[in-house]
Amino acid sequence: MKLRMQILHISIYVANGLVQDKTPIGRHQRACYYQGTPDFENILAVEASGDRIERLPGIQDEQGRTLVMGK
Amino acid sequence: MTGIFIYGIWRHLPNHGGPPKLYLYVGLATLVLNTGLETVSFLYRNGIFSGHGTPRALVSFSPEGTFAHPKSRVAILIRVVLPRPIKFEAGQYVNLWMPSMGWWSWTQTHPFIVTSWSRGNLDSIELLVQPRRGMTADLLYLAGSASGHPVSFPALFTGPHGTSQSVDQYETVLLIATGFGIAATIPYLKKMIHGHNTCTLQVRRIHLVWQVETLGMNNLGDLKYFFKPSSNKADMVQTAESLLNPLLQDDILDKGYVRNRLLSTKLS
Repeated sequence: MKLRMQILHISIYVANGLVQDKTPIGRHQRACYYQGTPDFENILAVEASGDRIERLPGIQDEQGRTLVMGK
Repeated sequence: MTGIFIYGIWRHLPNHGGPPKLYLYVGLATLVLNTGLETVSFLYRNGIFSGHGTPRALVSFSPEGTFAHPKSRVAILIRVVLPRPIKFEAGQYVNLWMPSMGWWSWTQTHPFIVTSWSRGNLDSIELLVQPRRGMTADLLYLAGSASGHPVSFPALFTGPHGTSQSVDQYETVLLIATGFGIAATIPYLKKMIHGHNTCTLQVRRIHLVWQVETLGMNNLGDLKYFFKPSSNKADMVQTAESLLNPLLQDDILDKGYVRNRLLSTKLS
């Protein structure tokens, strides 16, 4: 099983000027442009669920806390 | 003004001493002590009377910016070379004083978030500045007239100010920034990636959500200074790739600190 070690993911939401709704940046597939404004309710729900973190099977791995910071 | 205010209070207090005047003396003593400590800290951190020289601010700006329109959203980078290494926490800011910028610049100090981060002390700090009016517009004008080369100015600073949000106990961190607000997230990103690579933080996922108005060069300039691209590509997406890749590349355990730390442990 391949375990992903990268933790940083970047989403850049552009209000005007993008032709496509979603444009990946680079080969790493961890940064992406999006057209429009972010759906914060959905983003927060996904991040808080902990589903985006790969966990080892057969090992008790309790979900940790989530921090939201804004500027 | 403060002196007149304090004198007015003192004149209106009863002459026979007692608690009212005692309260005033306690307040004055606290003010004098605090001002004295801040002055000593200011002189020490700026290397005044130390023989190390005072801080220098190296100002540069995005070459893609519109020099003819200084109020546009071009980003200015200020690198402040410190006479003494100082520890800065993520999210802290400094008040910068650059008296030689213009006629009234000696009357102004401006707060800027420090975008640099290191586990130890820093010899220099980077500040991202959004040009507006006054000193920041002067900065853009003077930096633009230097044909792309950084311009050096004498500068003094107070700080670091502000508190740092602890990120030690979190598994997932969602960072949200709008426009130039990206400056405040960068030191936290550096700290968390370093903490993950050295297994000193619990963080296992960081999601940065950055909102910008357009995908113009000016907005990409915001990132450009942080991520130090190796080239100035004309295509916007390619430029963004070069901005984002260094941080993303640093976020790989195999190429990061853990392997280096294990190797150094074996060697020692």
